[in-house]
Amino acid sequence: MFIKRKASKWLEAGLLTSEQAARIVEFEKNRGSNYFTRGLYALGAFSILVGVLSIVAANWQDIPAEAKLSVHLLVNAVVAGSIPFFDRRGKRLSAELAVLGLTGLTLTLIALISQVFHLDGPMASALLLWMGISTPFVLVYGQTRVSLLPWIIGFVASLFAGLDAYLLEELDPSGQLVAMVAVAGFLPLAFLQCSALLPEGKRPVLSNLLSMTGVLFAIAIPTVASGWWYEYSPRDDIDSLATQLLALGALGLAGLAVLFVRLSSNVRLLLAGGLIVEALPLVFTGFESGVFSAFFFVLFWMFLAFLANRIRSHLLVLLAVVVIAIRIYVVYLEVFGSLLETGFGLVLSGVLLLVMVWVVCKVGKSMSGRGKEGEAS
Amino acid sequence: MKAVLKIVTLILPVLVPGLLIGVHTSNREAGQNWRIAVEGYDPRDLLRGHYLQFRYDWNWDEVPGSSCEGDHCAICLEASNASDNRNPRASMMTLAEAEQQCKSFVAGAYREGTGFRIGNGPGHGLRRYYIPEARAEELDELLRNAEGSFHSFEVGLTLDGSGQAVMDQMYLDGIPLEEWLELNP
Repeated sequence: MFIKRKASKWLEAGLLTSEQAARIVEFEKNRGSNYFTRGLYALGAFSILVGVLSIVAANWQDIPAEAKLSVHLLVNAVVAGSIPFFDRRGKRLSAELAVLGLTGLTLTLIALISQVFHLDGPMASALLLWMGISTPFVLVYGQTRVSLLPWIIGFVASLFAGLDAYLLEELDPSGQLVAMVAVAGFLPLAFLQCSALLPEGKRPVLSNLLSMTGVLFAIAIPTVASGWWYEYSPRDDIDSLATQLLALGALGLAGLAVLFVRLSSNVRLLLAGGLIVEALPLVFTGFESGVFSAFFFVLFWMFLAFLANRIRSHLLVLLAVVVIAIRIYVVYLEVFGSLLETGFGLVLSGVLLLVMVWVVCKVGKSMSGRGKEGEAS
Repeated sequence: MKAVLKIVTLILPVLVPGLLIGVHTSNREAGQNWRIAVEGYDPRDLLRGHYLQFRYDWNWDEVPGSSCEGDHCAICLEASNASDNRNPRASMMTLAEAEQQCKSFVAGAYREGTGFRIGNGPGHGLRRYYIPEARAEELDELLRNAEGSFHSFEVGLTLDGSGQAVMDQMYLDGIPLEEWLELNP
């Protein structure tokens, strides 16, 4: 057992007393056996579920449509009823699993209705209906990541599918650009604001997930927008000064909102930096260059590293350094790619890669060292 | 009040799909039912997953497109034979004209090149039908070579008074597809 070996090493190094080492080993032993028992239960339940699904799937065509719909509806009703049952008895995990189950079953029921009645509708309408009727009970009964994480992933997917099917499809290319830029500007802010609106300390997991989603968008959107400096990018759809001003106006409004919404200074800086990266290619529409794209990409990720260092997140600093290194290597291939046809080019690429890996390791170690010093002081 | 709202959130995911089932069942049973001939329209892509894709082979009275083009079009359907709902005569007109002149019509959009598409939403235009996976290849082959093998495919459409269409079922050689599959194992 690894923990036994580790405990004896820590004991030898004087980090633990023999009593503490024995207690740690005992604790881990009990925990391990608990996991094993729970794992076996879960495996058994999973096996039954897969078995039932296989039997149903094998006879799917022979089951009358009315029977499929009635049984599915009944199963959904039973699972819905089980949520308050578990909730009142304080069986948190069971309640969470029931919330997760009902979320999934609601989607499969919508899909079944669509299949039985051969409905004419895009995937987006099914997803939006799913979110519309699932979100209320998930927000009321979901307390942990078990139910809330899949919900937020479904929510984001439905949001994008809905925007694509019901907004972008209806607009001309320049309208699509303005709508896309507006969504890019406001989306991270919307998630962060929803998180801030939750009563302090009441829904910590939901609040954390919403703000994490906002931050992820605040990082991902400018990262993608740095690619707008390339030839053939969405900004090609700017067909008039009015379109350009509307797109920039949308980002400007998002910038104003960043100033007035209640946010931490680091998040405010992240959002403002991202908006600038998104706005620049829309201002200088005449410049098209892979080097510009790489420059703003690297600049934005350096800014991220700076913010990560401010919040003492060494993992994020290291991630930023690695991402920057990869982007520099990509721009090298783009600019000097033709050299790769020669042996000289291959040697140079190899050397460049080795140097960059060495730099990344050095910077990572140095950051980690500084972080430890900071924590110690 | 708060407890009631909590319960309502749990009733919604059962009630709304239940209502949908009721509405679609009622739509399918009410209204005028027509059987329209269908054919495969793209030899590379008739079969998508469990769905058979097709296009309608309307029995045009006149060349479509001459009387309407764009989103607000309709096909007016009239029985070819007084006692039969199969292969009705189809004439294209604007939706406004259809609402005034026509007893039974299907609303949609007409565009040169793509032809008439049922409905104006972002859906597939009622041009696909769920089929059993085990017989998918066989049905694909039959639809692909329907003319040569003398098989006829039709789709039942039920139309309400406002031109909305609901797909009833697919027919192969005049009998419901599910029955045909049972008769031809």
